[in-house]
Amino acid sequence: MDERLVVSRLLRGGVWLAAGLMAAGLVSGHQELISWGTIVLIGTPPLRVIALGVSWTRSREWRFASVSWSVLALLLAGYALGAKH
Amino acid sequence: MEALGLALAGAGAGLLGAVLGIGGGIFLVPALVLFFGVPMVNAVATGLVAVIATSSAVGAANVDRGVANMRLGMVLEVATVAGAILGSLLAHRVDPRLLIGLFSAVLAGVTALLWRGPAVDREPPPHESQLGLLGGAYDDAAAGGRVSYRMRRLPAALGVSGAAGALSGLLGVGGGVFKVPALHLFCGVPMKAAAATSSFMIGVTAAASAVLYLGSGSLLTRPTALVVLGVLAGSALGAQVSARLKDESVRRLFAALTLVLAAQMLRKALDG
Repeated sequence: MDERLVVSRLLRGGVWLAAGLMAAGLVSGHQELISWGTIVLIGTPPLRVIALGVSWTRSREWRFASVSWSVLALLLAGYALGAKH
Repeated sequence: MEALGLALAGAGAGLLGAVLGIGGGIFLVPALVLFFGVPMVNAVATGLVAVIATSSAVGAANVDRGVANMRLGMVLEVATVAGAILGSLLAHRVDPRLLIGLFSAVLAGVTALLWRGPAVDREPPPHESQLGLLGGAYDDAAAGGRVSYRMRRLPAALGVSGAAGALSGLLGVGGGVFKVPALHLFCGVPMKAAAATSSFMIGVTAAASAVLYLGSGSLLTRPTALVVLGVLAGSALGAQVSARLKDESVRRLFAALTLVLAAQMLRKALDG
């Protein structure tokens, strides 16, 4: 599948799933649904980095594949540093 | 009433994100503190989540249309994320007033440059087979058809992206405000493509910080949900608005934004 299609579907899916969970949480008063929606929302951009990394690795665009994996590595390093503080 | 207000604040952030490519946290966070009595740390956390919502919602549409340049965005993200990590490590060692003053001065310069527009080399648009690794092409009805561009001066863009990332790590704001003008003025990227690429990128930077707030339990669920739902409505509206605007109008709107921000930041630096 075209990388553009993969990314736009992933972003749209993440946003709508998060919005659905949050709306359900607001209406029903179940706070944990909102928390789950937030987790989905925050997880979507890193997933997008992974999706592009996979897509460019499969199409053998090494330059951009390595850029994507570097961004992911930096994100993980940031989480590790943040968790330590 | 309060619920409606929160959703409207979110809608404003989503609208700005869709048209100008910024997260809107720079307006949303103070609004949450001043008008809704949300404590600062919780407002910043909600602001970050709103930035992610804007980025994903606007990004999906712009990736579809080819306006958001994913390759360029990913390359610049290396600098942004590295800068953000460095910035958050230095956060307690730098005087925020000095930073905000500097922020204001740079924004004033950006305003002047943006209002005038890119002065140098107005080359004819490249053929689509000659866009290079980082160029792009997309349909823009307001420009009367297909728009194509080559990316120039990558090191400058990387430098500004790194600085923008550091600033967002230091102050929690300012990811898009410098990247969009730099891409347009120095690198030959059309205003709409610069905005779309920036809004595509900011979700990743914000996600890096948002995780830390999520872990510390400083995210208020109800206001966040209301703001996020507002963001989605605002960004859908913003996409319609952006499609009707000419590139020059986006540039002038952006200059108005940086002028307001420069004034706001100057006041903050002087008030302390």
